[in-house]
Amino acid sequence: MLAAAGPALAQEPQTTLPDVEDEVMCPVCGTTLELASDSQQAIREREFIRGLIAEGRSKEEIKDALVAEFGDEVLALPDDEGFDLAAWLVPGLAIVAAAVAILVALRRWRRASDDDDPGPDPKPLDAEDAGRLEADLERYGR
Amino acid sequence: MSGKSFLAVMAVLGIVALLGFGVVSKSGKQLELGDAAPAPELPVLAAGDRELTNSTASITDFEGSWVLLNIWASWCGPCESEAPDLVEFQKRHGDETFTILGIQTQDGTEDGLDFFRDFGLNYPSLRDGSGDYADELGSTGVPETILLDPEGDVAYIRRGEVDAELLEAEVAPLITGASVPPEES
Repeated sequence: MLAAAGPALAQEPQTTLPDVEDEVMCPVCGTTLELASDSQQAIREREFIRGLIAEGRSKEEIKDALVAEFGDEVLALPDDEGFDLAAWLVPGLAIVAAAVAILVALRRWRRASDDDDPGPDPKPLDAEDAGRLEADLERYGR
Repeated sequence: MSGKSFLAVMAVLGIVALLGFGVVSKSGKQLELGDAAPAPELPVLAAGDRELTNSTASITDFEGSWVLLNIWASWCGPCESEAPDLVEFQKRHGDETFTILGIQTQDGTEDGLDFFRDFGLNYPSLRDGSGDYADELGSTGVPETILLDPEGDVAYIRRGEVDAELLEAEVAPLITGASVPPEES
């Protein structure tokens, strides 16, 4: 059984298993621990986490302990410092860049529409058509 | 091709190249006979019958000997099945010219130590918690067994469980010199 290092003293829990397991991976299962089946590896990882929770460790301390056991890849979320910060920044910057590109494209499109040649002046109505138009407008209460 | 079209094409090529790099870097190259095995320093889980004074070791510490790398994990059923046969093989053949070297992969330290004690492993084991070394060895699962010659080159590969009969029939002749390693295919 995977057991937490150190004395097994009951401490006030600072976190819960669900709070941790959606932020860490089951390395063999290929999913977050929350979604992992009851494989032996997942069961032992949960027991390891429960042991640390019983010792009163915080979520960050538990994640650090998991990284020490299984490496950085056990974290489901990238770190927020160093090169890993790029994983948070790049998508946001990409969205901003896409929004700017769309705005620029819309403005250019609109400018191109405004500059369009409206075409030649419409042909003036002859007298008969003008009379019929006037009659229709009076009928419909212009 | 206009400037905008060129930029668009370059952007698509850049994304494809990035995706391709990601795929290539993730897929471990399978080790083949005759390849030199990678030799990173790894933490020592337990020393077995060897004197490992440092907290880390690598296969280079056994240079000049035949080394049977056994990739295992405590949560792996077939690893439990083959452990007694490996212990027996180490008892029969382990000396200054040969040792088994366990590589405990993607497994907890305490679980590994429990496994070590439960099965009375008499050979050293190194920790590969992240699984990176197993990936470098081209491993696709556990257990796997790779024999390295005294120069550290791959002489035999078994992807899967071993047993006493297989070890005596296929590994023993190589380490005793009764047969030569197969040529690289």
